[in-house]
Amino acid sequence: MKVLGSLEGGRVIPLKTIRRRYILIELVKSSMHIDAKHIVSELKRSLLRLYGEYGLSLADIHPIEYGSSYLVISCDHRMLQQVRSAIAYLDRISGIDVLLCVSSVSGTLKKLRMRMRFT
Amino acid sequence: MKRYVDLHVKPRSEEDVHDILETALKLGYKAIGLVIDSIYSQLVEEYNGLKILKRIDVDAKLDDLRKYRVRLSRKYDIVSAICRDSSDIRRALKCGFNIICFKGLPSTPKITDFSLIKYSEAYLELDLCDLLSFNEDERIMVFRSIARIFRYASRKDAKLILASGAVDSYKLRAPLDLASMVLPAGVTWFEALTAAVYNPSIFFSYMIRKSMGYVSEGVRIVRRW
Repeated sequence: MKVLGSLEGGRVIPLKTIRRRYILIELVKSSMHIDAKHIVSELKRSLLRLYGEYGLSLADIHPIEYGSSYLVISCDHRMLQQVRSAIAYLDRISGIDVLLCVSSVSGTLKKLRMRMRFT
Repeated sequence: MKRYVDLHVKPRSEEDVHDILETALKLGYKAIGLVIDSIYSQLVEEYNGLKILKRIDVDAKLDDLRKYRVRLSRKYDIVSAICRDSSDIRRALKCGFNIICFKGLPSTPKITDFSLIKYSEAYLELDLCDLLSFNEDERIMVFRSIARIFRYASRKDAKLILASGAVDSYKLRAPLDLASMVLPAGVTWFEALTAAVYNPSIFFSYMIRKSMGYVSEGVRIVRRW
């Protein structure tokens, strides 16, 4: 969302009020194959358990892309640490033992993809 | 480059040890403290660049606690005391333990415990493994006590260490994820990071220096006989 902001000297520039963070979640280990959609829904449930409906609505989580062993989600920048803690509390998804870890966090998808290419 | 250290991992079997070491490497740890007994005494000191610290937990209620500590510190890198109450903490500190660990997460920590730790070089360790297996009601209680522990520790300048206390590789957490696990208790990110990353790293570098003969500032062991 963009609103008009102003700088000294009367120049008016667009100012971004809601900033997003893109989180690369790596599936380090799992006892069976698991679908990324299940991870997102379980992550939302974990966030709801820890921070309530208000926290979940503030976090505004969206899945961006996923592969066999990774998942990229976006969230509000103010709730980054809370989303990270919700990820840390995920150890079992639909009866399957999993180990997830936050590999990288970025403000733009472009930079995140660059990091993904190098790791 | 940061040195991430997890000082407390308790594998249940020999198969778990290999699994835990592989996972710890993937998560970016540089050193790991493994609670081992005589079965795994053949354990190497390093595994693909991951430093392995042999650790043993001693019950603070034992008689001759000081003797145990001296004897075990020759064999193990980390000797920690498991405490249940203030009297245990007092005994462990008198006997010169560097790491003091609560038996489970305490439901009612006392501020006097932290005053005791303030004047020593000891670290108070919290294992977060139990948090993963607790149900919601239990977790609420534990979050409350974690909040109190951090508040008391900052008031009394006591040093805290967060460890995973993992029994298998699925309970291990990446260093920053481990720090974030205490955030629902109302702990600030800086406090969590200090306890999960900086304090273990300082303790680890102290141990390295100690193995090279360092005793305290200006005092160094030059020869033993």
